[in-house]
Amino acid sequence: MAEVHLEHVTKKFGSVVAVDDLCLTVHDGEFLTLVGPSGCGKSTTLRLIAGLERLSSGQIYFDGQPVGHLPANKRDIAMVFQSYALYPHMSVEENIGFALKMMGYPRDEIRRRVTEVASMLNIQHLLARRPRELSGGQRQRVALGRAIVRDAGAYLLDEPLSNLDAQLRVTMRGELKKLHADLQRTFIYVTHDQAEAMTMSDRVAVLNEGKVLQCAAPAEVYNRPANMFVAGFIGSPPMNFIPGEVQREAGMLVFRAEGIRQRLPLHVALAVDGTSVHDVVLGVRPEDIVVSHNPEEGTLTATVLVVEPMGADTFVTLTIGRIRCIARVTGEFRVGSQETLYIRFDEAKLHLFASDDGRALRAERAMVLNQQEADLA
Amino acid sequence: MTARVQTWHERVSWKSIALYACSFVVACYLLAPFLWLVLTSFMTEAEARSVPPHWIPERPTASNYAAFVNPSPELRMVGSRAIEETPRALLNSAVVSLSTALVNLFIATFAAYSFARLNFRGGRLLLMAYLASRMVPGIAIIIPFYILMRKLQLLDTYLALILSYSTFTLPFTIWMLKDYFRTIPRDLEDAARVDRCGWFGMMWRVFLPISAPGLIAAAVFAFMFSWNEFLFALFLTSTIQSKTIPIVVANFATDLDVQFTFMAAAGVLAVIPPLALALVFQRLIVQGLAAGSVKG
Ligand SMILES: Nc1ncnc2c1ncn2[C@@H]1O[C@H](COP(=O)(O)OP(=O)(O)OP(=O)(O)O)[C@@H](O)[C@H]1O
Ligand SMILES: [Mg+2]
Repeated sequence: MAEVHLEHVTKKFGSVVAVDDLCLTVHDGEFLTLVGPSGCGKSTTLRLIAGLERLSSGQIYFDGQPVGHLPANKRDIAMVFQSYALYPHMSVEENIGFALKMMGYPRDEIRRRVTEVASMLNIQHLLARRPRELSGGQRQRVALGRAIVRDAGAYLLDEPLSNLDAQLRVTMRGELKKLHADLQRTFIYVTHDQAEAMTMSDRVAVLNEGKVLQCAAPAEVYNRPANMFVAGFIGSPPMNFIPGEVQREAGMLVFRAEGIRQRLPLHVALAVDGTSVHDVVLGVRPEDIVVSHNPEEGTLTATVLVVEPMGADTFVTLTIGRIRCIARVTGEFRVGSQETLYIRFDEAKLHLFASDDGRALRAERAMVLNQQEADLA
Repeated sequence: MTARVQTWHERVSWKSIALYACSFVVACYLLAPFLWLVLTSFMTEAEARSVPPHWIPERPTASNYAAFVNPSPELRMVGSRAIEETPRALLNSAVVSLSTALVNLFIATFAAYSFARLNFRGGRLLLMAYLASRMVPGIAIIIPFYILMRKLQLLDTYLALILSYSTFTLPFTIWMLKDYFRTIPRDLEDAARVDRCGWFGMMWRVFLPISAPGLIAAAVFAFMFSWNEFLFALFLTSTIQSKTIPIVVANFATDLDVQFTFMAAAGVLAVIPPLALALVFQRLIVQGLAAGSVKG
């Protein structure tokens, strides 16, 4: 129903810049997730879209119409608040039906919808209670119900699942995704939880200090992070970063750090070649570290510090000289601390970042393909 | 938490015994005059004056109260018509106090909301000015008030009392409500706005209902102040058109004579409304209505 477009949106609270010249388009019917560290401006962005904060500068458009001047009650949005914000003097039923009542729906229509939403959220037995008689998870579901009971152009959800237990969270994740598929409405979703961001969204926008660092499909953000911040923020355990420098050895570009010499794969080398980039950071995801008990050609020697079995996977903290990394191996891999392992990095999945501004050094796919063809020819 | 069997001296510690003893002494100290008032109101005048004085009426009588309803001709004149005037004075007090409470609610709600939520220039200064205005003792401004009311031709009217009481109570109620409003999570207002309420709709359906305990406390405060006020009523009223109950009760003690039992009975009547208010609303005032609305 609504395409939400933010154009150079800035919000200042006194001297604090909460949202900094932010441009973002959320397509009609899209599920977009905002992720970022605490205080990066996620809630403020949602509140600006909702009309609960006044823009310092910039403009917001719903379906091409500027809405910056409209108060929250004139914008076609529903919202779940991070703090729930349930009306303490109303029952759960009244809480969920409040907006419908304000919009002048007939009483039995309100009742029908509230019952429907309540059974979906599994809170039908709580309808007569007051918010203070509910547990945290139940309150959160009521807050969710209050938003989804309405037909709105866009649904803004500020960490709606953060207080649920792990199992319920997974269930609700599925429910929300299904709801989105049914409604085909624009969802803008804020979360701290990467799993939520990765599994539910059409696109993920990574924010830091009020700026969008990257906005792309989850796989893209994970596999081709635009900069070091995104690379480090997305993924758990986080990407390993190894500072070092680029050198040219026998016509070949290599990455060198203390005790590590790594040939740069084509997709990285093409981006570095011919530039003056020297100081870099090598990025390796934990699952892209291949470990073995036996030394092979080109492997690095590492000592195991900590072993953390997680069930299906095991996280192994290693030191290579003075460099520390985490590797993710399968749960069957047997290793104890202080043992020596031989590791190598999966070349095709290496990331390289410039030390100065943290931007990713990666050639366009087309460029890589061209080069590969040229090499073959 | 693990359950643990407590021995009696763990539960009944010396500390709690001392605490109870102290509370008891304080309660006696506070309640004794009131008890004396109530008991005296059921005595005959002769018994009340008997020496040595005693507490319990020997032959309790309700005649003191009956006199207010239907005074005999000779009682009418007692204490400059105080007996005759008591019922009307109670009515006057009720009208003035309720009106003051309502004026307070109306004005203080808007003012306190502004102080609690809007950051406007000079806001803090204004609040300090309100507080400072309450540091001036009433006796210092009674003459200007008297002259003002005379110029406005408001002497001996309800309006004079309501206006002056409102000026004294508003600074307090605005401070009270401002602090109360600040405890109400902003997200609740925002949620109401998102749920399609305009500002007035939000206030009426969400903000004020949640603020009920604070509003009631403010109203009760304004009511009690107006009900008890003596000095200004003494200056601004002259006839039973507007005389309030403290003035009339004081009339029982004339230059020539004091009518202890009638005075006590009128006193009891005067205490009942504020006492009832306090009892009815104390639960509401204490109860934290906002509990459970937001997390943490
Ligand atoms: N009303 C306000 N007044 C002043 N500063 C504010 C206000 N609201 C937010 N900020 C500041 O703006 C920045 C962004 O806050 P915001 O609430 O949007 O963060 P967030 O990304 O939602 O964080 P979290 O993940 O902790 O919820 C923070 O530095 C915060 O201190
Ligand atoms: Mg937030």
